[in-house]
Amino acid sequence: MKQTDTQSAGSAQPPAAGRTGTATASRGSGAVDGLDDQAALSPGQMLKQIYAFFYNKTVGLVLILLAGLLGLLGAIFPQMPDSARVDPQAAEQWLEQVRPVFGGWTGILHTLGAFTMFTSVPFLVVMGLLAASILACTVHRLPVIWRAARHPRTRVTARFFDRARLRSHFTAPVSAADAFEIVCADARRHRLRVIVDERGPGHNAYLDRNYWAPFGTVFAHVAFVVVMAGFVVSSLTGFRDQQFTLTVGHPKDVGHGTALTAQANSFQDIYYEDGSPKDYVADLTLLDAGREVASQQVRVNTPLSYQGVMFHQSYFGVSAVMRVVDASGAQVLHDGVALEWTTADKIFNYGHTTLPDGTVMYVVEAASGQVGTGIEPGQVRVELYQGDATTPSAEAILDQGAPSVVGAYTLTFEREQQFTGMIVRRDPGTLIVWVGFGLLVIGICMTMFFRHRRIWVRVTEVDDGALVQMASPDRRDFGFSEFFTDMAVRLSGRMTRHAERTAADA
Amino acid sequence: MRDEVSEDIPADDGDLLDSADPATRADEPDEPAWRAGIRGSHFGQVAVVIVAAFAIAIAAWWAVKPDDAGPAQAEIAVVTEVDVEGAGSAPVAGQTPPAFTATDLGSQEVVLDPQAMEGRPVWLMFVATWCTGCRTEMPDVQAAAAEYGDDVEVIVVYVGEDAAAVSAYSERVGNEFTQVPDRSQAISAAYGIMGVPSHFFIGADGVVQQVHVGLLTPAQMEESLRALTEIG
Repeated sequence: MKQTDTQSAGSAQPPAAGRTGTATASRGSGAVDGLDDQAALSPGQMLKQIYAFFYNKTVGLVLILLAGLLGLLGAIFPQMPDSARVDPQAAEQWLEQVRPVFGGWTGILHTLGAFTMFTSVPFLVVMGLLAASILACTVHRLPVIWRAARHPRTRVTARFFDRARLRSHFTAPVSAADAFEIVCADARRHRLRVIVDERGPGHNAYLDRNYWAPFGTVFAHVAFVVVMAGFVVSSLTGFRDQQFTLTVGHPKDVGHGTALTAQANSFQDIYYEDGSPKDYVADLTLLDAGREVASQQVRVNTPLSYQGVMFHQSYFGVSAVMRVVDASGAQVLHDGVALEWTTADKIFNYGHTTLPDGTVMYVVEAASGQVGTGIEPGQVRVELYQGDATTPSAEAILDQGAPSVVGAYTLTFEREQQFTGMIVRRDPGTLIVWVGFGLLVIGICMTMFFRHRRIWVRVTEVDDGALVQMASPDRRDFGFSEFFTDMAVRLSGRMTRHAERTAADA
Repeated sequence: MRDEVSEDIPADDGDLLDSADPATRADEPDEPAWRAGIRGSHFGQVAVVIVAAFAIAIAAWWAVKPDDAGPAQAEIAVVTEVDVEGAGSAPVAGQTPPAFTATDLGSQEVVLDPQAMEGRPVWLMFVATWCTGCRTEMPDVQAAAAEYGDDVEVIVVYVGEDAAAVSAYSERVGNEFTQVPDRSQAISAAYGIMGVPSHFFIGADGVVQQVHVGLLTPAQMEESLRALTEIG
């Protein structure tokens, strides 16, 4: 039997360390503080200790709580968008937006990763340790589960039949051999695995069903790691731009290390008669290094996909198409500035873009329906900001189509034009995450709906026939209790009928 | 009944009475009571699974949820509602639209009489200078009017606005089609206008061919005007 092996495998104390302790005790001397023992550890022993640390369930529990705590902090604190994280200037602007809330703590919290929790080093370290803990627990359990499934313990003591959670015994007017045969045949008929133990006393059999079910815990444990791996893959090799605005007729580079350029040829929003939105359609063309590679009508539920990069229709609005010429006469911008934000009083809509020299240009217009705002229909106000300055270095109100010198630039407000706002993402980990969820579902189903059911049977000869003893230590859920009782009643009946037939034949 | 203890079975067989989980009985015979309780309870196991699934769902949500930090997103107003007093029901395709006589920005009389179209279809629009969607499509209206101006009469009615406001806007953006300030909203009421921009494509036979509420793309304008001129 493997009981001894199992117990040694289950010990968190490395065998070598145990031996060392024994040797030390026998010598009656040695380091009281145990430091010499630590120093004497071989690399292999060190690895075993690390392994033992990770499969310790208390460690796992602490890591789960830590991950939960960090996740909670990430939920409480506002999280910086992806686009701002990769752009220092955008990050600074974002921090300015939250500074009124967090005041002097803003910089400290940012340094600690509170605003970028799910990509911060502490969070990733904890998640990595948690993954290692889950893997170690799984690896540690796997041989135990394997042994229990493939080489189950088939013999039990007599006391077991008196103490088990589920137990039954009855006598039947048949020989022990016949009774045992009926038991085994009935078990096989009801899809139970039958392992006969030839050792006495009497006739012994181990019956079970769903012996593979405990492997569900392995699937479920691995699933957590796979899901985590999927998120890590996506966060390290993917990107997600939630505010990729395309002004109709003005191509824009996707960036994020790609050579893709997207252009919205048109945008159309269709409504039902009651005014509720029916459909949003952007006619999108995609270029890769200048070569057209895709063209599609992108709808909310019909994204454009190219080499793992997905373009989802998200929102839409109006841009101010601006032409910007620098002092040397070179055109530095000819694109729509999406007026996607609104002021707190909802009187103005505005948007901004960054010029090549780092100057940030804000474009402001009166929101639809607003009059007497100082910005008349057919006008926009532009404000230029240098670096982190909070006051504009230059500003002006521009008439549509009339070039004006503002600061170091000549600006022209050409027209208002529709823009489509898209979510552009590349999630290489998506498939991995789905595989993980699939494993999780499989594991849960195996564990919950296909419980491992075990019954030990012993049939012994008694004066008036055969004594049949059945017992199982498994939980008393209604389904199994009913099955167990039915089996006992059924076997008793079969044996009685068998005795009657035998008597009739005689 | 004889009680036997086999040499390869420990005298303490409690391991077979503790749990249905083979790993547990072999792995941690001294498992804490609270954990054994959870393991031994169907409800406890389901609760653990639900909590774990909930945690995963929360993490997944935070990974994919849209950013809500930062300034408020501008409300989209592609169709802006207008409150026109006494507005009736708008004419639909196949109906004869109401006739009207008005004065344009150049003080010229503008007449739309479905009974006397003189073989010239009309593209009638209702807009407002303060309407972002209306202004957005105006350069495309200008381009379409320039292309089809010989075959189609383009009339743009400004709902509830006076000549001064319309003139200022028109001069600023360079509109060159017939523009009618509808300060009294009489024309808008006759056409049942509830939102701007609204488009009525009226054939040379004085019957409404198409009605569109909302912003039109250049392609849609092209398609509607072509249909108007082909039938007309």
